[in-house]
Amino acid sequence: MANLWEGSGQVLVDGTGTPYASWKLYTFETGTTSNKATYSDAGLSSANSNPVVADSNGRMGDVYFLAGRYKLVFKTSADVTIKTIDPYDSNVEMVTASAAPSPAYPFLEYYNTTDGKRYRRNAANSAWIDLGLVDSLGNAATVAQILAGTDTSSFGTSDSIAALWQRGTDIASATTLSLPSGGGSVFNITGTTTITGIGSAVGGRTIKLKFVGALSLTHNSTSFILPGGASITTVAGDCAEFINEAATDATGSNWRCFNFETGDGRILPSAAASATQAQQETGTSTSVFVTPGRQQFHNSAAKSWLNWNTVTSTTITTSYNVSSLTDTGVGITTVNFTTSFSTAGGYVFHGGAKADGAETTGGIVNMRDGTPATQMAAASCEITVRGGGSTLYDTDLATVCFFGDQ
Amino acid sequence: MKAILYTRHDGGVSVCHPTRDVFNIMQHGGYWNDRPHGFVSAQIERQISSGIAPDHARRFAHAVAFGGCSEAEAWEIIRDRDCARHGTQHELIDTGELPPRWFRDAWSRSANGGPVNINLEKAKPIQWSRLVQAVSQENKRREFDLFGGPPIKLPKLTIQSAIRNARDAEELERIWLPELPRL
Repeated sequence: MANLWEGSGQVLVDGTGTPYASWKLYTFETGTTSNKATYSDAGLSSANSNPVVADSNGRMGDVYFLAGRYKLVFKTSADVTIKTIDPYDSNVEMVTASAAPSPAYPFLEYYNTTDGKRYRRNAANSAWIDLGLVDSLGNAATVAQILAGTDTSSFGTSDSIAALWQRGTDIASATTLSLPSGGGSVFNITGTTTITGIGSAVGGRTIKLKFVGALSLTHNSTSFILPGGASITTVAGDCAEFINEAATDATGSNWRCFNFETGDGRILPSAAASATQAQQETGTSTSVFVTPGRQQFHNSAAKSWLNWNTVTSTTITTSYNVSSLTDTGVGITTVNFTTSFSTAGGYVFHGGAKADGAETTGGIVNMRDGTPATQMAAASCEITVRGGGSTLYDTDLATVCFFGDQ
Repeated sequence: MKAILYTRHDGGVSVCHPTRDVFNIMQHGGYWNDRPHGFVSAQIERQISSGIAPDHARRFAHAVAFGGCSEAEAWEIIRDRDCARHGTQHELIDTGELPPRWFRDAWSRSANGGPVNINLEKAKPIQWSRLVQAVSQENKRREFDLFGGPPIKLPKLTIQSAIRNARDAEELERIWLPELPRL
């Protein structure tokens, strides 16, 4: 709505109360003699002449000012100046119009009845700035604008920004997952339909998915990259994180899963991330890491070891992977393994013993004379402790460790 | 401390001492949790290849894999798995009941099992062997000791006679030279 000047419809009189017939109102840009328009209608479609002339009774017609600052000059019909007011600030009420008002001037604001938004003319009077819906505080970005991330004229609200992190509505499993328009970064995936891709999004967008049921994720080396390059069958409770691989400010449908954790806390795929038993046994990979549960499979790791004494009675001090120790006689012991070796004789052992009794030097732990199957069976190994004179003897400290494949 | 005593097929006596760990494992299981599929079966086969009876191998493997054993059951399973094939007359004993190890290789039991005795005929050569070892060790010490005495001479005939005539293990063990330190 334009601003109706308060002198409209009023009669200008002199000191004796006599009206100034046909007096004139000149309007200029403040501080200048440049004319500044006024209008006879609220829609600012009909410009007044400048000066605006009152009727013969001295009554001024309707004068609508533009919002802004004027210089007003009051003159008699004979162009004798009565009064000059400079500056004069017109009211700043908002113009209501179905389209941008014209002429426009810097900082003019209007309410557009067509789109329900407020607009303000920029300082250079060259364009309108969208101030957003009239009932809002400003030009808030929509969720879509936040997710697109390209708009520079609207600001994020706590609600729209939450679209970047908050839990979104559940997504029904589908060949191509459709991300909700309402935004969100954490979603439950319902249903059991095989998923082969995710819908378009801006590059860099990250989403976290929690699978409610068992379904298949089909690896695609371009558009749906899964850890280890292998498809995954989910179990309820599994979680996955995906990142969109489109370029900056671009959108695309190429997604990479950079983390997949099973419901029971394992990181998948264990085959790619952590060494398998076979990889540990081969011992050549430099791209997988060793977990505590697998390190013992490497050839360099002892598969079993034992520390015992047999001076007065047989006592096991410490052991690993030994179920029992059998005292067969002086200097003769059978070690029974909890986990058997893969083959009889397919392993090696090494040990030593402290000098004791008549033995003045440390003893040698060796296999007992006999058949190989007995000496180094898969489940046990029969060993002897001999002194320097090759005599069997009991010692208060003997150790042995075993290496091989289990 | 408890152990499993048994008589070997060659007539000798063995004593099996289970580790503390194995009881824990057989009670709680899970020892092979991270092993590949089929590992339990492979373990059973490997034990069988070592001469362990299939049932004993299976029972032990299942206990290690899945647990659930009481201590008594664990003793029984270890006896079957680690001792059964090596002898007979298996018995759970307190190791304090065993004789001193001086004549360890002469330990024997009756045909029906029972406590460990010392076989005198096997013990006699052991005593002679220990005397020889002790003399040899002592003479070596005296040879290199600045103030060491002259070498000890083993009165072979006298000793042989004493050993031959010894009536029990205690008497046999007492046959020693006064100047000779005990081993």
